[in-house]
Amino acid sequence: MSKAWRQRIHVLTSVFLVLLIGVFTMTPLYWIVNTSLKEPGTEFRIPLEYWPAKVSLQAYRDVLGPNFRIQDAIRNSVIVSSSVTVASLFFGSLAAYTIARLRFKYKIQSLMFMQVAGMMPAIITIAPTFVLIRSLGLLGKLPGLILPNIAYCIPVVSWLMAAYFAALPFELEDAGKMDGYTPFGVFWRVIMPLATPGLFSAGVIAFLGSWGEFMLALTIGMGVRTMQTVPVAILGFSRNFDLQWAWVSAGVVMSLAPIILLVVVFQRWVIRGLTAGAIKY
Amino acid sequence: MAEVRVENLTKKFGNVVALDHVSLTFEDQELTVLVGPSGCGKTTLLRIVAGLEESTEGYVYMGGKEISNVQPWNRNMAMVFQNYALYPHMTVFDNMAFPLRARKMRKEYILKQVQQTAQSLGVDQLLRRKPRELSGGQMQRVAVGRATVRQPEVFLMDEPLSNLDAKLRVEMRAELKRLQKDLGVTTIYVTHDQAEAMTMADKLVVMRDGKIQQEGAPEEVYAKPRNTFVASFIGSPAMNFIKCTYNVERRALEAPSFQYPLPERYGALGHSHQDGVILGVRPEKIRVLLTSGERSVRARVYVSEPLGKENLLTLEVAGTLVKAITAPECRLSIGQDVWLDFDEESVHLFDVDTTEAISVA
Repeated sequence: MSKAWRQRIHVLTSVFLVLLIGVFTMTPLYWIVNTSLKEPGTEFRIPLEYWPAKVSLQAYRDVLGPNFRIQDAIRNSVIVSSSVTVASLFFGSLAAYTIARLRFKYKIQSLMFMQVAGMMPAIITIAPTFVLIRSLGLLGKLPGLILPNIAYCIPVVSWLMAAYFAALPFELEDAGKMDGYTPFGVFWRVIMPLATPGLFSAGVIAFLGSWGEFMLALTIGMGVRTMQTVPVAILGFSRNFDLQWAWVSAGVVMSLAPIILLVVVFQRWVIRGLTAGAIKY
Repeated sequence: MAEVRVENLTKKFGNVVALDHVSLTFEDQELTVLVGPSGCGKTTLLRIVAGLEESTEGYVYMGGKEISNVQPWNRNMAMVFQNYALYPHMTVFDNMAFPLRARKMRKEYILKQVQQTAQSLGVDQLLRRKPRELSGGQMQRVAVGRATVRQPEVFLMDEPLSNLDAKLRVEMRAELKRLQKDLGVTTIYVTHDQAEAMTMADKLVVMRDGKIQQEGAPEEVYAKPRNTFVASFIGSPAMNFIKCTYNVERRALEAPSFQYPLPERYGALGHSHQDGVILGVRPEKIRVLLTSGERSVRARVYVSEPLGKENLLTLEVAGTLVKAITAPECRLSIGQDVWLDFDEESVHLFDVDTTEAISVA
């Protein structure tokens, strides 16, 4: 077989695989959008409708209406996720910087130790977390949800950022100190700006993680309506015998929108940050 | 302006001793060069003076005040790094303004100061560029600009020219020296390049294994090396060494098929040197003769390398290879017998055990 043919086959196989993965991941999304556009109550009509015969926005109207008010949940989720992102980036970066740049014993071990904590399934920590938040008097309040989520996100943020910081030349810090800045000044003015791509990717991961978080939100929320985040609010769509998949789908689509927007806007940075690994400490 | 002094500095990294009780004065307004092979402790010494590294023992003084515990950002010293260490996310202007902003200078002052410095270094056209858009030479100038813009009391330079190509290095070397003289700022300059060290230094400090081997004016270090290490490290091509024994009766240095009368200025060497003396002579202090003369030494041409302005000869003498520099017209063929005439005043003798120079009588 000639070289050109082999190349063509290689390209075709690659395209085919990409399409396959694309279809695999896009199908649920398509079905949710499809369902959300059906008239509530007509989701299960046989034969299956691959696209609603009559596109209806009724589900969206209902979900935004006085019964469900998903916009409140989205607002709560935005508050929680942005606070978690900002705080975990800040603290996680400080930890990562310490581990990547300072000389001390057991630095790799301390990073690993954090990862162990981060890999704990939430179900294991949920009870003690609940007790802790209760003793802080934060049950049913947004800060009670934000604080533990920050703790959940710090391990992965510091993991990503440590790889990023370790790749920056040490001389930059020395130069900053000689130019008259304290270590924190150097961190803030020299290191952080250079770590922007890493911050974006770590930030998106932290945002997504806390956006989709369900168990903690349900437990700490204590059923308080005004502090429901999106996943908890969508659970609330099932009322007695009244669960309408069109509502759920509409809620999911609306909660996906900000995330998709976020990733589309920052994707260039996110990808650059994620491929920055392969670093020695 | 200030004199910098270090006293009894010791630095250990684990079991490795990087600096071993070093005491040294960097004179006010002078350019002092620390030179030595890699791992000799020169950069460690510089970093301790900068405050970037803590010493295990010893003190650092600036202008008579002890500053051992003063943080680097409070020391008012500026540093130029080997890889320039320009901030990649800032423009040239911001890079140069960075140290001034740390000192909360007024905006107009910063603008004026940066522009002036950039102009004097010939980088005023580049102020809006990012470091990655500059050539190596330009980056070097910006790095120097960032150091000079705030008029520090001391300059520290850590191999600032070693990333430049040979031609540019020679150019920048002269420029840096001139700049230092114009500004009159006490400067500590680290290099492993002996030519750079010789040409730039007011005072030369040769280091090895964390210890100072010799300090002094470059001409003095060149003319009177204190041991074989300094003798071979300073000067290029390096000084030739011939291992001899000393014949007391004949007052001569001897090796198999080699005899050289002891130079007058050494008087009479004691019996202690009978077993071994190292004779050192620089390649440029050897005359190559085609016929034997008084005090001349027999040799055989090993190889001849024409360099254009001179010829570099390698010759076999008493079983060792010796380098000599001759006029370009001197064409010799491999294997040819010649005679060497050492400039008697420039013959150095070293003790074979201690490698220290034997003192002149």
